[in-house]
Amino acid sequence: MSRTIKQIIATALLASLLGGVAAMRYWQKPSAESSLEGKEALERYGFYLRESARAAGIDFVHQAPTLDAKLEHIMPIIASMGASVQVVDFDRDGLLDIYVINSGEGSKNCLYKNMGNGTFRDVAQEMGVADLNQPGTGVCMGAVWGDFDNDGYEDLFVYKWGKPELYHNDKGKGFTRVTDKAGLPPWVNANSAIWVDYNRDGHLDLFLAGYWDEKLDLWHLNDTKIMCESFEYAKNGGRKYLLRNRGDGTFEDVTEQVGITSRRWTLAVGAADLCGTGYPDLFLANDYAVSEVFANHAGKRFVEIGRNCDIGTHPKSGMNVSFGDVFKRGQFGVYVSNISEPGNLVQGNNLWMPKPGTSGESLQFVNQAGVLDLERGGWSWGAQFGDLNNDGLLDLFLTNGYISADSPENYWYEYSLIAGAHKIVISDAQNWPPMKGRSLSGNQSKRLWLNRDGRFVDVARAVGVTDQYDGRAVALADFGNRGVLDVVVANQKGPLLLYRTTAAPENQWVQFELEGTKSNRSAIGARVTLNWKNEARPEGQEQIQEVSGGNGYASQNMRRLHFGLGKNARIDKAVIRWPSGRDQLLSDPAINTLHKIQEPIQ
Amino acid sequence: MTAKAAPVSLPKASPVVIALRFLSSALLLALYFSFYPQITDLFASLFQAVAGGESLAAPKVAAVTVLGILLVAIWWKLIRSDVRFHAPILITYILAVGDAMYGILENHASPWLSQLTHGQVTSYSPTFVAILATIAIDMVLARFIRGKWPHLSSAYITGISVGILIKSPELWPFIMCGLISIASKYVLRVGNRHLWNPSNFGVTAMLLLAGEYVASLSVQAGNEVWPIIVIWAIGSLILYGLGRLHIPLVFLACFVPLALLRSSLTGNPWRAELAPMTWPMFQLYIFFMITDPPTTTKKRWSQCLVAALVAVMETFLRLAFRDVHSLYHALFIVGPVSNLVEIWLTKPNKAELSGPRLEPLAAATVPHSSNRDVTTPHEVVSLPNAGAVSSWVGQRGGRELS
Repeated sequence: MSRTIKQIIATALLASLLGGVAAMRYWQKPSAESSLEGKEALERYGFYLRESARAAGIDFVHQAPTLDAKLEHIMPIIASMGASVQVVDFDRDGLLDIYVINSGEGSKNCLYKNMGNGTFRDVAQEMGVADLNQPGTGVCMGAVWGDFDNDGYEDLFVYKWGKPELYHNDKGKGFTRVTDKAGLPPWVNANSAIWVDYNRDGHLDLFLAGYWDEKLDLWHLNDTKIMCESFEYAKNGGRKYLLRNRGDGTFEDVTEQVGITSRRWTLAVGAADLCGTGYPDLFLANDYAVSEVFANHAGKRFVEIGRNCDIGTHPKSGMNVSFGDVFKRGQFGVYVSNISEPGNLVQGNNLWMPKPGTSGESLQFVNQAGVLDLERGGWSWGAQFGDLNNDGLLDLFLTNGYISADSPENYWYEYSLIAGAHKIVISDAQNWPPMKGRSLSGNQSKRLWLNRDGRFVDVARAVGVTDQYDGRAVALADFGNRGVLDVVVANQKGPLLLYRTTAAPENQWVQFELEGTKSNRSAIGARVTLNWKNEARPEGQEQIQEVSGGNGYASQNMRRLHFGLGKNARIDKAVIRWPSGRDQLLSDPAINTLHKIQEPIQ
Repeated sequence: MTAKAAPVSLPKASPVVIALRFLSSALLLALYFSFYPQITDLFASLFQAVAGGESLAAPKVAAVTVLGILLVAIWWKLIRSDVRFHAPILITYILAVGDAMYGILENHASPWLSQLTHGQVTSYSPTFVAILATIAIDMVLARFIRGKWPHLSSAYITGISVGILIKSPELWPFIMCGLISIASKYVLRVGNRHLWNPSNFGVTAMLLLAGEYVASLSVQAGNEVWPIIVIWAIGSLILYGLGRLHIPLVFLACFVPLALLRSSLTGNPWRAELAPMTWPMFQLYIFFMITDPPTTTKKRWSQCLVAALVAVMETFLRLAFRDVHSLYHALFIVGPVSNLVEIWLTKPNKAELSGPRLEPLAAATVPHSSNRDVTTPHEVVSLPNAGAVSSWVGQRGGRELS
C-alpha cells in the first residue's frame, strides 16, 4: 500500500473521530420532549404535574438581600441564596402547611395554612413568624421544624445570615420567640440546619452549619476579604454548631466536645444512619470543597470518615443532601448536587451509593450518578427523592439555575478568570470582575428524573415542569391527603411554585405518620423498612425511609413517610425502628392508607 | 543541514531480569494498593511526630514518592540509559502528587467492573483509559504508516495530558480526545512536520465539538502556590536543558502588559486580568504546550516572536469573544500558521534539492525527531502537550535546532 493511500486512510480516521465526537454530542443530547397533555403523560409516565400556586392562593415572590455596598459589583453572586421552603402541619389539623422564607431586608416570611379545600391562607403575621428580616438582625436563609420540647407541636428554628431564631409553637395558636432563653449563638451566617437527636436521649438537638464566617456582618464589612480561599479546598467558611438539647428549653454547644471542627462552606446537611449503628450520622455538602461525613459514635463523638470512604476525595460544589434507597436494598444513596455548565465546568452531580459489603467504619461509597443518568443538571441546588407516580420506585426532582439576568452576556468568562487563581486573588471580592447585569448559569430548567428501575429519565417538561426560575429549595408533600406527592419549589427572586401531582390511580401507596414517646415526639430518626410485593415484582422488595429533621437544600419535606407501591400491591410487613432503639412490627398494613403510629410505651 | 542522530544504546538485559523487574514492580504495586490505608496512616503518624500537626495530603504525597523511588530503583538501569523515559517519569510524578494532594485523578464508577470483580473494584480512572487509548492508536498508526513500532513515551504523555486537561463525567471524551490528539500528529502535517501540538488540537476539538460534556482544567490544585512552584521547578529544569526557557518567559513578558491593557479596556480589576498567571493550567500551558519542539519554529528569535504572537492572539480572543479557552485557541491558531510560514520561508530551492541526498534520520530510536526537517546531535522526545524533553540532563544541546 502506498504511503499516500495510508495517509488518506489516516485522514479518514481523524475525520471520523471528529465526526464521531460531533455525533456523540447530538446522540447524547437530552431529549427536548415537549409538554404533554395530562392524559398522555399519565399513560406514558404514570403521572403529571400542574403548577397551581396562584390558584391555591399563594402569591409569594422571594426577595434577595442588599448587602454592604463594597460588594455591589458582584451583589447577585453574594446575595444569591435565601429562597427556602418547609412543609409542616403546625396546627395538627391533619393538613400540611407551607412555611416559606424571604430574604429582603424588611420582607416577610409566609406561613401558608392549608385550608383543606385546595387553597392556602398566609397566617404568618397573626402567628408571629412573619417579620424576621428586620434591619440589624440579618435576613432569613431557611428554617427547620421540630418538636424540641415534645409537647406535640412542631416548633420553628430559623437560620439566617444574622441572628438565628427559635420559636415555640403554642399549640398551633401562635408562636413565642424563645431564642434568648435557648442560648443560641448570637450571630451566624448559615445556609443549613437540621433537627437531629444525635444522642438518642429523646430530645431533639440542633445542628447548624455556617456558610460565611460567623464574624462577618455582611451589611457592615471592614474589608472585602470575605470570599472562599479556594474553589475546591476552602476551609475559611463558617463554623458548625451541634447544640445539645438539655430538655429544659436550653441548648448546650457541644460541637468541639464531639469532635466537629469543620469550617467548610456548608450549603446542606443531612442526618441518617449511614453506618448502620442505629445513631444518625451527619452528611455535609460543602460548597468549594469536598463533602464531609461525620460518623456518629454512640452519640458521644463524631469522626469524619469522608476522606476514607471516597466521598471526601473529590472536591466539587456541594449544594444538596438527599437520602434515598434507590436500589431498594436497605441502604441509602446520597444525592449531592453540584455545578455543570457546558464548556466551562462539568462537575456533574453525585449519587453516592454504599459499596456492597461495606458498613460501619469501613463504609465505602461509589458515585453512581453517571451510571444512572442522574449526573447532568446544571447549576444545581435542592433535590428530593420521592415516588411521584407511586410505581414503587423513587424518582428525583432537582432544581437548577443560579443567576438569571436580562443581559444576553453571561459572567462565565469573568468567573473563569479568577476561579483557578491563587487564594489571595480569589478571597478578596474586590478582585472579582463586576457582573454588569450578566447572567451566570441562569434560565435553567428543573429536572424530574423518573426511575425506570435501573436508569433515570428526565421527564420534567413532558409532565409539566417547564419553569426556568432560579430554583433553590424543593419539598415534597401530600397537600391534599390524596396519596400522592405534590411538589413545592422556592425560587431565588422568583415565585413560590406549587406543582400539584396527578398519579395513575391504579398505582397504590401507603403513608406512615410516626409519633415518638420515649423517642423524640417528632420521631426524627425513626426508620421504616417496608416489604411488599406488586405486579412488577411478585417476588417482593424492600425499601427503607427515615423521618428527617430537614432535607435537601434549605427545605423540609412532610414529616410523613410516603411509599409508592405499584400495581396490585400487597404489603408483607413494615418494621419501625424507633430512635429509642425499639423495633415495632406492623404485619400486613393496609394499602392506600395513612397509618398514624405511636411508639409503644412498653 | 541534517545530522544523523546518535543512536541510543539500551542496556542488554536477560529476559529473566526483565521478568524479575516486572514481577517486583507488580508485587510492589499490589502491596501498595492493598495496604494503602496502613501506609498513609504510618506516614501520617510520622508527619505528626515530626511536624506536630495533621495533614491530609502530606502522607499521601510521601507514600507516592516512596513508591516512585522504589519503582525507579527497580528499573534504574534502563531509565538511566534512555533519556526518553525521564519526561514520562517526571510527568507521572506530577500527576501522582497532584492526585495525592488534590485528587485530580477522578474515578468513574462502573457497575460492569464491579460485577466482574465481585465488588472489589467499583471504579476506574479515565486518565488510565486515555493513556491506553493514546498508546494503542500510536502503535497502530506508527505501524501502519511508518511500518515500525513507536517509542511509547510520547503517547503515554499525551494520555496523561488528556487526563489532566479534560474534565468530564463521561468516559468517551477522554478516549476521543486521546485518539484525536495522536491521529492529528500523523495527519495534519506538511512534509515531515506536524503542524499542531497534538494535545492542543485534541483539547480544542473536544471543547469545540463537545462542550456540553467537556471542560478544561480550570479550577484545580487547591488554589495554592505549591503546585505552581512544582511546575515551575520541573518545567524550568526541563526547558533550561532544552534551551527553551525563553519561550515561557517571553510569553509572560507579553501577557503582563496585555493583561493591564485588558483591564483598562474592560474595567475588570487588574488583579483579575493577571489572575490567569496563577492558574496551574496556565503553568502547564506555558511550560509544556507552547514549547513543544516538534510544533514550534526552530530559530530562537522566531520562537520568541511566536510566543509573543500567541500572547497577542490570546488577548484578542479575550477582548473580542470573551473566550474562556483563549489560551488553547490562541495556540491553535498561531501555532500552525507560524509553522507554515517557517516551512515556506525555509523551503529548499531546486538546486539544493538536486544536491547530495542526506542520511535518513534515526527514526527508530528517536521517533519524534524524525518528524523534523532538521535534527539535533542528540535525541529529543516530544511531549505532545508536555513540550519536549531533550537530553536535558547535563547538556543544553537542544537549544538551537538548526
